[in-house]
Amino acid sequence: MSKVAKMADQTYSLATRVKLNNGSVMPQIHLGVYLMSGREASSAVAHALDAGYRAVDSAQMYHNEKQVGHAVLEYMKKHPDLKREEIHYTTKLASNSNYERARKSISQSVKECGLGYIDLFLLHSPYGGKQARLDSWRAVEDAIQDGEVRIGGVSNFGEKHVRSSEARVTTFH
Amino acid sequence: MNQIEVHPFNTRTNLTTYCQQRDIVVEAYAPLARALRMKHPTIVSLAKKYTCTPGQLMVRWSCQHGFVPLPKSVRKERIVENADVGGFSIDAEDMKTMDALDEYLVTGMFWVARSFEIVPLIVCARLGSGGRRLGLPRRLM
Repeated sequence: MSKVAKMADQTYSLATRVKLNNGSVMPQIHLGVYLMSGREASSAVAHALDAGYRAVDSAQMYHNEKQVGHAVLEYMKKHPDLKREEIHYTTKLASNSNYERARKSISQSVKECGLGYIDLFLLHSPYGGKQARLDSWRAVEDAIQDGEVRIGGVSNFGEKHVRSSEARVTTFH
Repeated sequence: MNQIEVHPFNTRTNLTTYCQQRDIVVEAYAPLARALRMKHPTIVSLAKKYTCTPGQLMVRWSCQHGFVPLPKSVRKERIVENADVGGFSIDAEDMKTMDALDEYLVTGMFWVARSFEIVPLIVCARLGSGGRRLGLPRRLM
């Protein structure tokens, strides 16, 4: 059976999980909170968790990491059966510059969301040049080692960007 | 993991194929094309055929391609609706029809700032310094 046919046969729901090549799994459908104010994000996350979503995609640039994280914590308080491990929280580095700034910025994001760790941390864009990308990526790798981040990845990378950073990037995604 | 803009109007086929061949999961942002093509005749007719909403059709298309769609909505009904895609399955031919809608429609964050009157003020306020740090051309901010 072809890959497309197999995918068509599958049933998709908020319970569907995808497997990553580092062996971990995550929900297939996430709530996006791009361009939401803190207040909007907070109520959207609560609605989403109620509906059965277990993944939220935020970013430093959205300026709502705090409200997203707190909405998750609030929900968990009301639903003690729900474990932190069942939630998948994504956020992204606003800009690639140097290692120290990136590493500090990741810690700041962890603090901001209040969730203890970030499930998926992405470089938001390839901007800044190759050195800035690699230095920022090294910060993501170290944050994984330090337990602040579970999985690393990239965003808005074209084929060339993926290719040039592949040796490192494919280690975690 | 590479998160990029992907929907039937911007399929990024080369890039998504490249990623998937290498086991890099593709996360699809703007899976609903920011609601800019909800009234497109093909979308409307396929939604009718599968008795779903245009939004559900597009999320399901994303899932069937093996992507991880990130639909955005602030409204409770829409949040529920967007993820309720288990009741139908798009057949192979209709998947191809949807793939062929590709027009490289880039709805990404910087485009939004150029296309509406009010949004750019908000976007600039939020992205102003961030945009400069990213080294974006002024006209894109």
